[in-house]
Formats: sequence, structure tokens, C-alpha cells
Amino acid sequence: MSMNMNMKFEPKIMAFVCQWCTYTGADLAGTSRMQYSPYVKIIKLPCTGRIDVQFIVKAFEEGADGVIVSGCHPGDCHYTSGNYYARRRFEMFHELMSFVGVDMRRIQFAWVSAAEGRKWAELVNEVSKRVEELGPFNVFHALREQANELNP
Amino acid sequence: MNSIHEVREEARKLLEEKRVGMVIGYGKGKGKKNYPIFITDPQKVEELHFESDCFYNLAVYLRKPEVCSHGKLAIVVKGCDARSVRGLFSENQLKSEEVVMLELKCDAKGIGRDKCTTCRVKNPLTPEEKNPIDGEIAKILAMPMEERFRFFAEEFKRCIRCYACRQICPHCFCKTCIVEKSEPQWISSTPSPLGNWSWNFTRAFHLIGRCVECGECARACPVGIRLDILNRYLAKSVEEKYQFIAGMDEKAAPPLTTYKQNDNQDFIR
Amino acid sequence: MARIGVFICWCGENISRTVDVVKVAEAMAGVPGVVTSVEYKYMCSDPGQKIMKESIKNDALDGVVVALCSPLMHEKTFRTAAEEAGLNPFLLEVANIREHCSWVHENKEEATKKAIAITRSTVERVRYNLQLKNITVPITARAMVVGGGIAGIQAALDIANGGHEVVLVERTPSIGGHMAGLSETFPTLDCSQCILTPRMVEVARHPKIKLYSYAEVESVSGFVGNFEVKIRKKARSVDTSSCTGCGICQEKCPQKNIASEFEEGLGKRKAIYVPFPQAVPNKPVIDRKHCLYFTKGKCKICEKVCGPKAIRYEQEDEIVEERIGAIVLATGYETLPATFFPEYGGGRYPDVITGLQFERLASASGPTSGELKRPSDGRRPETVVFLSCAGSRDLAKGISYCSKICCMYVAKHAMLYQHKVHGGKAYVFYMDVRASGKNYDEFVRRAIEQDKAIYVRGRVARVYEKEIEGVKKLVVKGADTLLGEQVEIVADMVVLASAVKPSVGAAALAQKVGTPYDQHHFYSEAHPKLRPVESNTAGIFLAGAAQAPKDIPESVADASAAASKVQILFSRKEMERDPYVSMVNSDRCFGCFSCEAVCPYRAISRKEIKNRSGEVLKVVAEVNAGLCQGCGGCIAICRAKACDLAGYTDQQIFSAIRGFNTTSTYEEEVVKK
Repeated sequence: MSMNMNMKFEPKIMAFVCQWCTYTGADLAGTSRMQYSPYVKIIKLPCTGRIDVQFIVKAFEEGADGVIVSGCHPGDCHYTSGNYYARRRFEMFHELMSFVGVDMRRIQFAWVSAAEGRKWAELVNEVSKRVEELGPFNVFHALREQANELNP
Repeated sequence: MNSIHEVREEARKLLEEKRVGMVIGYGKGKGKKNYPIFITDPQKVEELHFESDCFYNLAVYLRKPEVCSHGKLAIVVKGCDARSVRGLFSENQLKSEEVVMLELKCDAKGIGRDKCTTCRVKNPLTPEEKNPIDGEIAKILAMPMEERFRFFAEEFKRCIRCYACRQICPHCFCKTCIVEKSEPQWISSTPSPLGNWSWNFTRAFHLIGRCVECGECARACPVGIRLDILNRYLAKSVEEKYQFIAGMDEKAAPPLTTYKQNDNQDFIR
Repeated sequence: MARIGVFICWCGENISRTVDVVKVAEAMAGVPGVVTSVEYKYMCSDPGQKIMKESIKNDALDGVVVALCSPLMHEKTFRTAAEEAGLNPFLLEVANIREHCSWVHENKEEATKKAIAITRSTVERVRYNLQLKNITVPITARAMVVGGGIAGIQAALDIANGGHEVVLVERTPSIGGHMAGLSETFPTLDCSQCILTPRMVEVARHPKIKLYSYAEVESVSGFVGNFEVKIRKKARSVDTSSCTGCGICQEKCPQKNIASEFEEGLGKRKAIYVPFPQAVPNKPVIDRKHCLYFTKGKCKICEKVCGPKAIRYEQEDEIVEERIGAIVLATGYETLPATFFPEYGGGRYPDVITGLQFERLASASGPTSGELKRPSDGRRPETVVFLSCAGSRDLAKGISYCSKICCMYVAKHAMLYQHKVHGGKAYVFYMDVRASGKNYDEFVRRAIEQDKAIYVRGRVARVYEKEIEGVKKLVVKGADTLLGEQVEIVADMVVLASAVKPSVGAAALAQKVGTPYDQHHFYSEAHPKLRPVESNTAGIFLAGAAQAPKDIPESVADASAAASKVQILFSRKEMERDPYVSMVNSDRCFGCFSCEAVCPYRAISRKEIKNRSGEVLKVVAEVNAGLCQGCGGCIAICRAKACDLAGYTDQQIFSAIRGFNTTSTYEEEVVKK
């Protein structure tokens, strides 16, 4: 989160993407010069199957207001089945997160193929707008600030 | 087995014939209702008891080095605790030929815990009653998101990181827990609101599709964190989504280690 | 303390138009551990690369971040340059500030801030990059081909002609497969045996091919380039080295009423037999289930008549071991038997036969010497009904797919029938005719227009027997969906174009080899478009109908493609591949083997940890770097965090996450300056 008295809220959104589909799709959005919101920052991984849900928790711990997780469509996984296992893990993550009160509008899972530069740009815009409207993830970041008080 | 007498008889035989090195079961102490006992002497099988409030899930001892060192083991299990043992089989933590289960028929009334109301293994199976925990879950689901978050954040804030939940859990079998990992450190290891949140969240996630809802973690928690609510909720959604109940079939793949091509993806854009 | 160099590219105006590269360089110069931070107009040009190379040497860098275009463009370029300057190439990372930043944002302040965040995150990541080395795997340039049909034969010959040794394993007593039993082949109607048998002989004579016929794969261990294969040579009861193949044993054997597999049950064979005259190897085998000596303990006539004394009743199965670098699976197909179709009287009426049986009846070397006769009474069939899609595309039979070859062979059968029975009537029931291949549609048209085959669009509901003037006929009841009428045809013979299935045991073999297959047990290719003859397991290749129904030209093309893939693998002594593989910390691993369950490559095995006296303390996961493809699935599933992925370690990722977030206040200061 970054909030300044004089500045508008600029959400911090972290995107965990697979290198084969979504990373390349985002490259395509670039080569096609599609304009989109600057708040999403990408971390490249080999496969959505590599994405430990802890990465998402860690992103929030480190101050993120929103998270995108994206990879190859089912059936297109470079490693055949990584995204299928990931899909189950994310489904249960989704269950647990929303049960403990994390507003799941802050986390978006998406399939974006290497050909879907347009979808990537739209996804980024949509999530950025949504998180901007939701505002900083204060309830979570409050935990962090309290933590800092206890362990400076 | 129908009665503790049969269990004692079987335990005696197993020990006398040296088919097992130790029998784990429930004993009766002065004042205390019950406590776990570990019998190596066939003469002492009479100490085995089974009556009301034998709520411990003894499966946790199967993985303790001081118990394992006795070779093959026999363990007194209620139907529900047998699920833990089968879970350990399915995750390669025990070999079925190394453990004899002395399964007691339990009417799930004497124990009288919340979990008993929706027991899945009692014999004969009676229609599902209402689990009081489900009422708690419904209350939470009725809360707005921020209130839910505060509810759990407050629960987790009380955590003193004693890790009793982990120690009592038969399925927390990692020798070195993720919380003890450094470089990188996944979860701050000292009590703090953020670290506590992360720890309790992570433990719940790690138990998905594995927790048998024995309720021991919530019972052991000295500050009364409602871990049972979390685990119950997740177990229910695993059953709904993947038709999987932990510990029922030792051959079945735990739900997160498998997939179907047509798994739900409504939440994915 | 790290010594990191940051090199930021203007990319002409591509980056610098929207990103203030000078500010990015300034911002990075202030990051702890960054010893040099410079920008340059064209970093990828020779002078640009030179700046980086010199800095690596002069500033003794132990980590480099190049902030420029997508890593897909120039990661390799800069890693090579770094290596030339003496830095381990895996200590260099690319920060993508063009495709992911300057090209997609217009506001210069925002784009500059984002470029700073991306570069900073990459700097944080590179702190934890490890010095990696490409993995080299030695290659045993020797292939095994499983299955001796046309696909296996072609693959074996191509690999052998490429100069590499081949072990060819065939389950039956002879190679040749289904093609050896076909009469003529579409769309040219050339005799199948005439084109196949020279290839079979070439296999037998080839100095680089070792043929194990009447043998099966027992087990496969190891990985690409380094497989160890056990092959079970089934007891033939004949010493093939002394047998001359004279055939006297077969001639004298008194057990003569055994249904011949080669003749699809329409002909007979002896208990000691060569499946067909052109068999390779042309050595007999004793069928112990039917041999009088093996069943009743007496006879031994073959032993008595055998000149070179080659009969070995006491022979046992033998297991041989072979070291192999690559495996081609060419296990082929079978078709559903007639008995699978009770509604058509399959199994009940002898004149309801399958397409493969029709091939034998039409074959000059077949049980009727190519004369078309009814199996029941030997009469010439005056009317024949061919049913295509028998079982194919029929969910009620559990088969969703098209068997692909039937449309063509049904047209061929109708044609061959007309050529043999002048004035006879051939009806073909079809759903649609799929004849997409070179000269295929023309071929079907010929069957209809020249040879007057009568094509009826529709399914047959049932077939029953009816005696007409003392002759048993088959009444075929179906619908003509084009006319919207019920049709009833009184026929002498019904031929079922029954569905193609993978051969029995295909799935079991796939499990031994460790390669995936689909719900019908056809082998799965690594990629349906781009890697059609490779399996998902490195070093395992696919050819022919084991992967999906295929005709002869497709099977041959597959086989040659697979052979070419094998030769590419064998073209080097060692295989080099990138070092992104999983690593297991066996202290932390507690052997739940979730990783094993989710690994798509069978790269994880179980390792026993023993104490000094040899007792097993625990069993842990072990990664075979030769098989691991670096997807990282095992790492995400591991609760104990006992494994990690080289190049994408948890530490690198955590650090990158932190890198994005710790910049906020700092980057704003720099931008405001």
C-alpha cells in the first residue's frame, strides 16, 4: 500500500504468472502497444503448478493490495498437468481465504494464453480498477503494523 | 471388536506371540477420566479401558520415535481415529503391515464430543444429526467480509505459538515444520498478529483433504482458538467439491494430489 | 555484500520515451549491494554488451540485472555475454521494462516508477541467484523399438540405417503385424505382402538390428539416454540357432485343428507352427497349450522328424537385459471382435465377420486362396453388406472417436468383392464417408461409380438369420436416413468395420515405461500439434496406431519422424539441458510423496536413508535430474518445504516480492527529484 496525503491511492498488485502462456501473453500486449494500468507487477514462474499459495499470502504480508495468478488454459499446460493441480489448490485456497474474511475481489485467478494479449490488458485494468475502488487492504496491513510494534 | 474384553484378549495374544512390540490404548487413572497407555507386557493388558470420554486420537503416538522403536504396533482405535491411521497409510507414513488396528465399536454417544453428532463411521450408521460446529460456521458465513476477517484475526491474535495444535495432530508429521524454515522464512516464528494469522492459515491449508476432524487441535489449544471450525469448514468443502473424505480409503489419492479435467473453475477468469 | 551491476537500456526511444532511464539508473545506484548502475542507448549492441562485460571484470560483479526488453528476446544474448566475461550466466537476470512497461504505459512518471519497481525487484531476486551449470546426461546411442508391425519395422530400419543399433521387440512369433495379413492396400490396391515382406527381410538381415520375436518388455528403469530394459524371451521350445526352418515339424505335427491367429480364426494351424510362410524369423514355435506332448505327455513327433535336433521341450522363458538410450513405442492396434456386436449376430452367425477377417478371405495367401466363400458353407456370397462405424463414434460402445481407417478399407472391400464376384451386390451402410487423404476420395468414388457399390446412409439396427430356399441368409434391417425409409437387405455375408482399439497390454506397457495414455489407452503425445511423435517422458517416442487410429502411410510417416527424433537425441554423446530442476533436502523430506503423485515426468523416486548398520531410517524423495523438466509442481505441493527449484527458488521469489514492495517510498523520492 502506498498512501500519501497529497496523492491518490495507487494499489500494489502482484501477478504470479507462468512463463509459457501469461508472461508471453503480457509480452504480446506490449508488442501490440496496448495501454493498461501500471499497478500490476509481474513475477515470472515456470508454471502455475509452481505457485505455492504462500506466495500470495507473502505478497499481502509484504504490503500488496491485490494479487493476480495466471497461467495456461486447462489442456495447454507446457508440463501437461501443472495447471490442473494448481486449479484445485487455488479453489481450496479461495475457500479458505474467503472463509477467514479476505475479500476475494482482491485476488483474481485467470487463464491467459500466449495469444491473449488483449485479455491480459483487460484483466490488469479490471483488477486495478476493482482494487482501487476497494482501497488499501487495511484490515490485513493493520496486522503487519501491529506486528512491527511487537517486533521492531 | 465389540468390547474392551475382546480388545484385551487380542492385545494379550499379539504381545505374547510377539506379533507386536507395543499396544497403545486408553487407561483409567485415579480421578482422571482416561489417559493414553503403552503396554509392552502381556500381563498388563487388563489396564486397557474403554468408556466414556476416551476422546484422545491415539494415532499421533504412532509416529513418535520412542513408540516406533518397539517395532510393530497395535493401537486401540475408535472408528473415527482409524481414519487417521488410514490417512497415515495413504501418505506413506506407516505401512499397513506394521500396525494392527484394534478397532472398537463405538456408539459415538459416550464420547459425546461435537464431532460425534455427525460421525461417519459408527456402526450402524445413523442419519446425520446437526453438528454444533456447523451452526458456528453458518454464523461466520452470515458475517460481512470485514467482520469475518476481524473474527479470525482476533482468534489468531490470541495464539501464543505453543504449537500444541501441531504436536497433538497425527497428520502434522513433518519433522521440521514450515514455521521452522529459514532462508526464506515463510512464517514469522514469534507471536505477532501477522505471523499468527499466517501460521494458523497455513496450518489449516496444509490439512486440507487430510484432517479427519478429530478435534484434538482445538481441544489442546490453551487459548481456545476455534481451529475446529476452520477444519470442519474445509473438510466439508473438500467433500462437496471432490467427494473426498479423509481417511476413509487408504488407497484414495488425497484431493490436492490429483485432479479431474473438468474440475470447477467458476472462480477463474 | 553482493556486488551487483545494473544495466539499463534506452532501446533507442522504445523505452526512453516513456521511462526516464536516467532516473532508473540513479534509483538503482542507491540500492545496497549495487556497485554500478548505468544506462545506454542500445544495450544489446556490441558496444552496449561491452559496457556490461567490462564492468563484470572491472567491478568484480557477482550479479547482473539488465533492464531492457523481454527475456524471451535477449536473455540468452546477455547470459552468453556474461559468460564470456567470466560470470556464471545464471547470475544474470532480465528486468522486462519494455514489453511489460514502456510499451504499455503512456504516463512517464507512472512508467518510470513501475520500471524502478521491476528493476529493483529483479535486483533483489538476483541476490539469491545460484551459480548453476547446465545439466549433461550421457546418451547410450542404442534404441529399442517395441512392436514389429509396419511402424516398428520402419522406425527400426530408419534408426539402424542412420548407423545406430536397434533392439526390436515383437510379442508374437513373427514381425509383420496386421499389415502382413492384409490383402491389398488402399488407395492403390497393391498387394500388402509384396510391399511389406522385403522390409521384414531387411530387418532380419540388418547388422544393426537385434530382433527379439516372441518376446515382451518385462521392465524399464532409468531415464532418457540411460534406460535399462529387461526383455522376456518367451520359451519357443525351438532352438532358433540350429533350426533351419525346413518346416517338416509343422508338416508332421498331428495337432492340426487349432484356429490360426494369423488367419483371424478362419484357417487352421498346427501345434508347432510358423504363423505364415513369409514369417520373420522363419522359425517355428510350439504352442504349449495345444501340443500333445505338453498337454498329454506323449507324441514328440516333431523332435523325431527334426533333422538338426532343434526341438527344446525343456526350454524356459529367458530374461535378457539391454542398455538403451531411447524407446519407440509402436505397439499398434486391434479391432473389436465380432462377438462385441450381438445385435448384428456377431459370434452367433459365422457369416458375420470383421474387416480383418474379410482381408484374409480376400487374400491370395488366405484360407480360401483369395476366393470369396462364406465361412459357414463355402458358398459364394451373392450379396454382402458392409457396416462402417461398427462401434466407432458410438458412446453406447464406449468409443467416442472415429477409427479413421474404416471408410477407406470398406470402399476397398466393396471393390475387391466386386472384382472377385462379378454381378454380386455390395451394400455399404455408413454415417459419413471420411476420405481425406491423397487419392482417397477418388478411390471411394471409384468404388461407387465404377464398381457399383451401393452406399446407404444410416445405421443398421439388427441382423438376423433366415432360411430361404434351404440356404441360411442374413437379414439386415436398418434405416436409410437420406430417404427416410426402413431398409431390409437379405445378404449372404455381413462385414463389420469394427472399431480400432490400442492393442491389449498397451496400458500395462505404458506403466512400465512411465508414459501417459488417454482414457481409451492410446498413448498420449507430448503436444498434439508440435510434438506429435514424442511422449511426455523424455526419450520415449511414439509411432503408428498405438497413439491413435492410423493408416499405413501415416504410421510409416510417424515411424520415420520418431526415428529422426531418436537420431537427433543420438547425434551427441551427451545431452545438455538447462539446469532448472527440482532439488530435495532429504533432512526436511518426510516421505509423504505428494511430489511423486503430482510429478508429470516420473522424475521422483524413493530413496532409503539408512544408518551405519543398514537399517532403513526413513524413505525420502529423490529427483532424477535427467527426467525433471523443472515445472516446480513438486515444490508447491510440499508442506515441509523440502524441495526447491533451481533458478526459481522460494528465496528468489520471496525476495522479488519484497523488492516490489519495499520500493514505494524510495521510488517516489527519486521520481520527485
